Amino acid sequence: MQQFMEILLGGLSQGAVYCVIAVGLSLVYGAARILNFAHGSLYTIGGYIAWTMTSGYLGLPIWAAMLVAIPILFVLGVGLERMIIRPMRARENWKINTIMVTLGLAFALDNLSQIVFGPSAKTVAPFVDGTIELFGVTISLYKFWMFWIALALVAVLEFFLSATRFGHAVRAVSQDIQGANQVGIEVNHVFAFTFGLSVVLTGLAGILLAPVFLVSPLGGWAPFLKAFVIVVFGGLGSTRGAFVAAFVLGLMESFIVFYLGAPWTMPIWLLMLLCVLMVRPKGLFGVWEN
Amino acid sequence: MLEVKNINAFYGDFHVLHDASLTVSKGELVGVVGANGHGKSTLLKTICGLMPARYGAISYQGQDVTRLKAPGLVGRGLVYVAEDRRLFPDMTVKENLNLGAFQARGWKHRARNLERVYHLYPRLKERQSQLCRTLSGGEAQMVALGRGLMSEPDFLAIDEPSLGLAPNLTATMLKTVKELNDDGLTILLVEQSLSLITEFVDRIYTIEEGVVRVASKDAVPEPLAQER
Repeated sequence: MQQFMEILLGGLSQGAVYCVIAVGLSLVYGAARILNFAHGSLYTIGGYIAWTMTSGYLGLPIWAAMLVAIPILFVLGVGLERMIIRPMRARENWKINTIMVTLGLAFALDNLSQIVFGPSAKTVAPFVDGTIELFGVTISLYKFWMFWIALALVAVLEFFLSATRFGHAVRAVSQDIQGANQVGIEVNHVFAFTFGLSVVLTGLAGILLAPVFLVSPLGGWAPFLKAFVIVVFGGLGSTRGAFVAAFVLGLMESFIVFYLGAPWTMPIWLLMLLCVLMVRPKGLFGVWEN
Repeated sequence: MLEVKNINAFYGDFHVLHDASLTVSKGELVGVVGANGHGKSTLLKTICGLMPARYGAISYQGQDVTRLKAPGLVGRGLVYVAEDRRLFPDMTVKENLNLGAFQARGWKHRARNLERVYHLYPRLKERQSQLCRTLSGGEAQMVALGRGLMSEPDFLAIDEPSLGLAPNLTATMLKTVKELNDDGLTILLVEQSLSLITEFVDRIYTIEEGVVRVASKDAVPEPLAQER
């Protein structure tokens, strides 16, 4: 029983962080129609920002690093959308082209990280030490907080999308671009905004996980690939689908790692994905059509 | 109020509108009649800033708006209601209507306008929490028109409201359009068949292969009026 709880809690905290990464990836696909292959590299950038602000140079606590990182990541995302994605929208096959361009961006960012920070992995200290006892299980206090922070991020995003005027505009753009134009929404602003938002989300996930995993130039690929499976599993473009899928797959991973070992995670995930796609080709919550 | 002078519009290399000109004065209800594929929607979309005009000029309320896109025009009260509704399928009726008031112009009056739309269509009030993807064609058209009204328009460009509607629903819809016009809204209405709208409109244009002509309400050539 205790073991079961341990695996369950581990899966939940893992799922919550996957959630933050995957929701961002899904959001930007749904609203801005960008399949962002640099999502993982931007996660890494978040980790490096955390390192620079904390143990690397400035010595700030990690929560302060998160607050400072938000505007930096947002501006970075908006800038990237304006400079490298918007010019392609007017052309043919731009969706395929953006995949190639964001993939190129990923390589550029990874190599930039390597040049600037070096190939060796960086460690970031958590903002709390110690452990907490929950349901008879001892877990690290940091993971406990990480779970709630990740959940809070997703809750804030969900509130923004479902209850604010601009959140509705984002959803409108993801559901019908011409319709959004007709009601007077500046669609290009929404594209840039959602891209910025998704970079903030993935970057914050990178900061949250920096104390757990180390920060290294290629460290973003594993979370990106996982987020990609989660997003397809939940339905491309659906943030709620990504939310549910992150927890389903996070819990599943936790059990797989315990009973079969970590290398089995991806094979079993992909098997699950195939099964879901056979029954629901658009994923669990996928409704978005071109 | 609206003056369109010799506009030309293209889909890629395909020349759709040829020197189209028309005028609509304040308070008028003007009809444009033409068969499918002759450029009716293109004409309206170009006027409403959803497609660029390659040549020609459009002025609205005395200002040149040729280069303005839809968001800029909505802010000035020129609003498009699409033939294919263009609702947001995974949002509720009420959310769709309120998005019509996205810009400051409509946002200020959204409570009053929502009341007005619900008064016009009590059915929408009953269904305000329903997702738009579950609506019938008639209800979807009500939301489309209602969403246009939420933008606080001075000028409404309505694209084929009869599309996909049963004849009795079409008649009700067109009566509503006429009532809105009687309340002071200037309207440019596009339809396929003249007989549908002839009793409501003040003036008529025909459009054939992208060429717009002034027509008398009674003397439209029969084949055009009949063609579906």
